[in-house]
Amino acid sequence: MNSPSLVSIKNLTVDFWRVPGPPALNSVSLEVAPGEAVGLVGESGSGKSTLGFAIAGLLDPNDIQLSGEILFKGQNLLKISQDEYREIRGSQIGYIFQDASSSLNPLLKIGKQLTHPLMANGGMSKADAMVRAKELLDMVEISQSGRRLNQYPHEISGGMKQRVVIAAALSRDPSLLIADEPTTALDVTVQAQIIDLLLRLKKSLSMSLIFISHDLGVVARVADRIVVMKDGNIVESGGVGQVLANPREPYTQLLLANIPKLRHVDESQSLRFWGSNGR
Amino acid sequence: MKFLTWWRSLNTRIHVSVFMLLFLAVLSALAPFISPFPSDEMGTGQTLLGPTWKHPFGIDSMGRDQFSRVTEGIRLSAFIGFTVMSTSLLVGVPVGILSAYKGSLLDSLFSRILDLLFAFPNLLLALVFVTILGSGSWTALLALVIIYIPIASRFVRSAALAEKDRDYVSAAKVNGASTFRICAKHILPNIAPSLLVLGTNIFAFAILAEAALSYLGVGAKPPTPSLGKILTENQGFITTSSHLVFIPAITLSFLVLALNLLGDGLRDHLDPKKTSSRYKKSLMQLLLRKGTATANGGQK
Repeated sequence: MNSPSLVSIKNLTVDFWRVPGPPALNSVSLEVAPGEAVGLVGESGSGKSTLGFAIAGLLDPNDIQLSGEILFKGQNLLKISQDEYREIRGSQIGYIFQDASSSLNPLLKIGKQLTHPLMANGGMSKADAMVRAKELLDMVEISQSGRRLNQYPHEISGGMKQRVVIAAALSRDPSLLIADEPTTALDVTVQAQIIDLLLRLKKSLSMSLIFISHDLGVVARVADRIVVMKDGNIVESGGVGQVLANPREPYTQLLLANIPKLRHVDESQSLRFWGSNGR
Repeated sequence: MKFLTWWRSLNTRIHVSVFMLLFLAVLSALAPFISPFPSDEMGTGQTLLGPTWKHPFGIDSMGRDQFSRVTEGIRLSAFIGFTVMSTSLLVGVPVGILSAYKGSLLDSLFSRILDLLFAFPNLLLALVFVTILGSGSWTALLALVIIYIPIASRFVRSAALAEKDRDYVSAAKVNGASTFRICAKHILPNIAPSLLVLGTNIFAFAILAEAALSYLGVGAKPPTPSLGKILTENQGFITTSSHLVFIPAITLSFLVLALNLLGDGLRDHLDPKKTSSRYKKSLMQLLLRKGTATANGGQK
């Protein structure tokens, strides 16, 4: 890979000093090229979310010991001031949280939540920000976008909330979008829609995507490259086809083996499962 | 119409307490028309009189109209309760939220100062302040404010601590929101229901504490008709003219009961999920920490 990376993480170690035991991230190195989609997979506790948090600067500096470096467009995020960090986060990094319903403030209307950052960071006027917010809702394919702006989060569905969260993350055209299990809280059909949406947006906005998930099936659809994590270490990384078709690490093989494969259900088990008159 | 629907959605405790408070408000507002005697005028010519049409609550040992004194006491109590509540919230809310949100050194610093103030029983601390500053209504008020600021701060801090780790705070942070914006637009509105409950409770407890201080003789000075002061002045006549003691005591209880009911009702109305006794306990523990001494002091 010769193109300069958008994000380049070198030997990043994150240790929660209040928690005994090995560090949450142990000397992790990762490169993300512009426009690339990287899938971070691993079981819970493997450090994949911590990695996402670390890039977005969401870890409380009082709780952790950090070493290594995170280069974002050549700038070391661990060395800059809080204000500069805020600037970068506000304009260039978007973050989608796992649970959409809790990442919207329940007391603010959708429109307010979308326009606040635009006005505070983008320097837009209120009217411009409203127009932009409506565009964003159209972009994430929310129907009746004008009406939605005046609704509260509890008045819309879970899938729609996740779309609003995506819209908020994309509002200032970030060059990096971190999606931390964005579909886990949704039902399967909505999941598929959201993933399609993310893929289309990624293409049209040509941004990089770090997609964090424990679901290899979802990651296989989204990512160009898969990074497998275990216990704070990167155990395997490579192109999607390569990793899935030919996993080198025993841990990756184990993860793959744990995806339920409907085609391989053996006859006796399926009969027992469906009962005698099933199928 | 809209008001009526809203009013019906409130629970019985709020209804009852609003009527109780309205009753007291109307009573003290109409007092000059019902019984047009200044509360400190001794010129009625009689002493220790029972209730009459002219003097509904009787006349005390110094010949003053008791009705005027009690109603003015209500106004004074309300003023003190409101002042203590608003001042302690005005200081406690920013301190508590900042302390919770910023954490680390600032939090430790604030918390240790609060611990220092917490180390003393409420009333004792108030007595110390009053002794240093000299007794009187205003110093009693100041002492109460100093006592209730740490209580408010600590409560706000714990409420804000629970709120600051919510995803929407992180989301706002990633979207580039400043510390001020996060505290003011995200954390504060979401803890506002708890603040309302905290406010009514501080209101009630401050009234009781002021009555206790006045009863002990370090609060309001003699002509001022504080409810606590009225109790001390008349306690010697409890066997002969018991109405002089019971009426102000019942008025005080009525006022505090109304406020507590309001706080309780608001808590249930604003946060149906938190009816569990844990939430109530955490607030009550803060307020009642040696508060029993306060309550007994007022009604001994």
